[in-house]
Amino acid sequence: MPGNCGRPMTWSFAIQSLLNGLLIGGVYSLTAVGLTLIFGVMRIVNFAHGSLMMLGMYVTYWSVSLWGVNPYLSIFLVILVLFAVGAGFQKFLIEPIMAAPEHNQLLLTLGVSLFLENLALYLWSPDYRVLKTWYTDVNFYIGGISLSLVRLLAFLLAVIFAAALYLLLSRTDLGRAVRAASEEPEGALLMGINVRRIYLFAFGAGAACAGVAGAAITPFFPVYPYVGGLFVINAFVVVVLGGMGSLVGAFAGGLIIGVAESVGAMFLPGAMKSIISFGIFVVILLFRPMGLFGGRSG
Amino acid sequence: MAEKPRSEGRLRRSMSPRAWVLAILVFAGLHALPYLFPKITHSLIMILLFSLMGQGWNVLGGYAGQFSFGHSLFFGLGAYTSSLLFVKAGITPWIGLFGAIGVSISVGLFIGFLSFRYGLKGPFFALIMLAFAEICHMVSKGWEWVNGARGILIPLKGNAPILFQFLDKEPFYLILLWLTAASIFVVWRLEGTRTGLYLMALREDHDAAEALGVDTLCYQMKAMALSAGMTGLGGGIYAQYLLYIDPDSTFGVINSVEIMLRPIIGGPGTVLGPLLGSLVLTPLSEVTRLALQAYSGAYLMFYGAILVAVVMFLPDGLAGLVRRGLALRKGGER
Amino acid sequence: MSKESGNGGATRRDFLKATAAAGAVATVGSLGFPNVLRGAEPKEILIGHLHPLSGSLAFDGQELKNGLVLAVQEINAAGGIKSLGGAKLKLLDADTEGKPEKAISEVERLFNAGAVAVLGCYQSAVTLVATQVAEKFKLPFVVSVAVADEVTARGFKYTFRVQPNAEQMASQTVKYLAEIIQASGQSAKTIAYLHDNTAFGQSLVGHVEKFSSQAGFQVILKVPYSPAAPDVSTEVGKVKAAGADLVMATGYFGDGVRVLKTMRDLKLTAKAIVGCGNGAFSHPKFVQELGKLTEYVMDGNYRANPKSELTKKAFANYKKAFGTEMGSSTVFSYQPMYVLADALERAKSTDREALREALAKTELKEHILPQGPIVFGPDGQNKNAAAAMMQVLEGQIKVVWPSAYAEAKPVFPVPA
Repeated sequence: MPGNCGRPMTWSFAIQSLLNGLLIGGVYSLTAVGLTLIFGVMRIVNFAHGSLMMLGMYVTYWSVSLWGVNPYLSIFLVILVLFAVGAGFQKFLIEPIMAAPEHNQLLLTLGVSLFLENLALYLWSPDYRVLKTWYTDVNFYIGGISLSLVRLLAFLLAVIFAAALYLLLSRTDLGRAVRAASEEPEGALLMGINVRRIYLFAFGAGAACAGVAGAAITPFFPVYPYVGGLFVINAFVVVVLGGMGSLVGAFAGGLIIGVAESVGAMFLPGAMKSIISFGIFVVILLFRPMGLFGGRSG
Repeated sequence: MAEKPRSEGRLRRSMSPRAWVLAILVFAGLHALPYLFPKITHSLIMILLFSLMGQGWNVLGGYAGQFSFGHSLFFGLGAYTSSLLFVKAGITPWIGLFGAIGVSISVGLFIGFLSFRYGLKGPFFALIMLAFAEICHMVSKGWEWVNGARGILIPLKGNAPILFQFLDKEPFYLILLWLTAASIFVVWRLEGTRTGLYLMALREDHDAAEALGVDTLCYQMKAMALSAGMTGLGGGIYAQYLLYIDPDSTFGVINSVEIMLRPIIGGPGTVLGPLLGSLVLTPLSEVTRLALQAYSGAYLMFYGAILVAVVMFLPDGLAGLVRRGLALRKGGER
Repeated sequence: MSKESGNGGATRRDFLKATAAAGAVATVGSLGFPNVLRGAEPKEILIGHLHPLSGSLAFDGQELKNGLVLAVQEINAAGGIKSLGGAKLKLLDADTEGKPEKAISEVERLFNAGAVAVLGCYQSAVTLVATQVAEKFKLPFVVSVAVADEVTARGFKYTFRVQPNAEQMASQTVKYLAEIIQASGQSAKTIAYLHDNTAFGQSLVGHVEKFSSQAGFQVILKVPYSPAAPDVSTEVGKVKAAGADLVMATGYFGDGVRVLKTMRDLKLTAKAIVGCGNGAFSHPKFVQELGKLTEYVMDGNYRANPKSELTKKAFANYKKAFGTEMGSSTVFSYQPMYVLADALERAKSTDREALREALAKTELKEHILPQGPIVFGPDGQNKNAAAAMMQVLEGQIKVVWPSAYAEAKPVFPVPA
């Protein structure tokens, strides 16, 4: 199948694109998992999600540059920091306005994202920061296809973290409490579940997801204050595609969007490749707003 | 909880003759501002421009309750339409502006129909507007006919009022002054019409309004048309002021934020909200930029903080604060 | 004013007359005897500059500012503007944040603050707007870095550009490439061109195509990409799949680095990878970032003349002041400042009209560029502006073509 520039559409090119799309899709997935968790439990659309990811990236970057910590080990620190930030965010900013109209919550998270991004700008300068590690350049070659080690690790990290979260939510008591609180807050309260604490946990965990996703890509992606903006819109597309509140959906959606974008880029001029994800977004919002896996409608 | 004072204020429809005289005097006085303080003319123009476009957003967001996160779509469509008409077909922007309004309204109605027909609201509507704005952003970047990312440079003709080009800033200020006043007047009158009341009804409780037989789709579309038109008009004027537009500076997300913040901070669903918000935000961004010279993204930090503060403590915006202040002074009974 | 009665009535008229007379004398006097009537010489000459000091291009913007700071320091240390009594230059910053609309308010602010001239803006989009505003204000504008042809193609009188425009950049890059290939005795016909989709990349694409076909090449593929994209593997993959003899690339620093890294990751092979005005490929930090991956990469770009003594001094001073190597973009904030200083010397005045006249008559032979004298055409473009072809050889970026300025011989094709 010829591309629109008459160049040969080789199999290796197609497979390479698919593979890359899948790998970056994993990162989209993890980011989206965090976003959908926050929405699923508290019905909050968290615009600050991208800035949380950015924070995770900076934590990793500073850990490596200042203390020489291995970027993959720094993930533990990222989880701690982002969990705290997320929970703090929930407790001090969101909780007081849980009863306010939806759009106020939306605006609040937007305000937080503006604040965080530009605080980062103020503190850490607008310079692009790139991590340099020996494994950044490592690639495996299978046939004509190249597989970047750091991208593969990012993908694995995303899968592991998302799976861990899923298991937590489906197998543990805490997870059961979370699900109860999200489906029936009043009922959960009556059952003695501290719903407020569950919300803190959910937001913290969601933020941690974003942070880990950021940490995962830092080995191969430049860190700068506005980097979150690139990912947050994608995250929303994924969440809507997968179904708001569905972890499995978010995960699957991330992979789908990653692949769709990469495949789309094969045929469209570079800048327009996100049109595919936006197009999917619009179509889903209009015709299947509950997404592929979502049970409840928006 | 904050709803009640708002709707009560609405019923006060007419202004006393004294209020009218005062308003007209103030309006007349405003004409002199750029001549008295030429150094702030640019800021004044920006204040008015965003107040006009903010009012557009306000009709859809504040009154009809549909918060759009993608109003840069109309801003960009307006800017591009009037510019393309001039650059490609030599049509003077005085006429081109009508084209700008027309295209914005058409696109707005299209999206509005799709969204409202399928019952999109709240964050979903916000996001779909954002999606459409980004789609236009990307298309304009990749489409050769509109010059792609190179943008459109409107040829400098010096002082050519017929071509909507002025060497001085004052004419822009005066035009925007009248347009902003008109937008305020239109919305003020709208409040008292059936359309206005229905909009507010469906904002408060969409389903109840439907149940009462209000054709919510029709009224939402009207709100969208007015909203898109006003913002598109602003876009066209902006293009003539700058004489250069490109995808990022028009369709970029930051414009959606700037347009949206004016009415939200000034007071969503109020007549003077966008103007109040603009009076606060535009100077604030200029001042913080000068004060914190290092990296001037700092002003956005303040935007963020103010937005959070307004949402948490002042959901009615500044206008609400003013109203409460006035009400307290009048004896406080609400 | 209150009524003045009696003989006070005449007093007012007299007063006015006297004032007018004094004013006339002062005006005529200041025209004829500037030194005498203005009293002291201007101690400080304000020069404004607009660059993206924050935002995604902040790295590049800050570097450009460094170049200006260095030039100002050097000029002041050497005695300032001697024809104006040793007046010192003072730099006024303006941050465009990378946005064209910021340029409007910032140019005006600089104008109001008394800047006699302005430099900027690194991005073509921003420069186009800024120069237009400067033209309205009749404020001399010397472009630091901006490649789009339109900057000097609008009949403006107050815009001057030292760096090569898109047409010069593209035609010279292609010419040098053709000459290098011919000298190597090898052949190469097809080109795949990867470029950013901003005004920068798009301004070069058309020219590269035109001049390539004139030189006997064939551009078989053009792939635009967004500099902000997280992942350019697919775009680079397209280029790889095309299998062209030569791969050309245009972009800013950050994305240029990312593009090359991806090319290496995907094992893209070609007889040469050639940048055209690439913000990364001939930047010293490029080699720092990617090390051995950059070997043999070429770039047809603006550059300082490596063989000039002035250049070596400037580079040394820059390293001493900022601890890093002077990049090519920085050369074009540094040199234009000297052009301004030279014009101020000849204008013997800080009047903007006089400065504009002096700029238009510039014939600067002492400079650090690989070209003849800096002379502006009637459109404000440096007629002799020249690009050079650089190549990374053993971890060093060296000029390899044209031979007059070359520090090393080009390696073509890239060894397998």
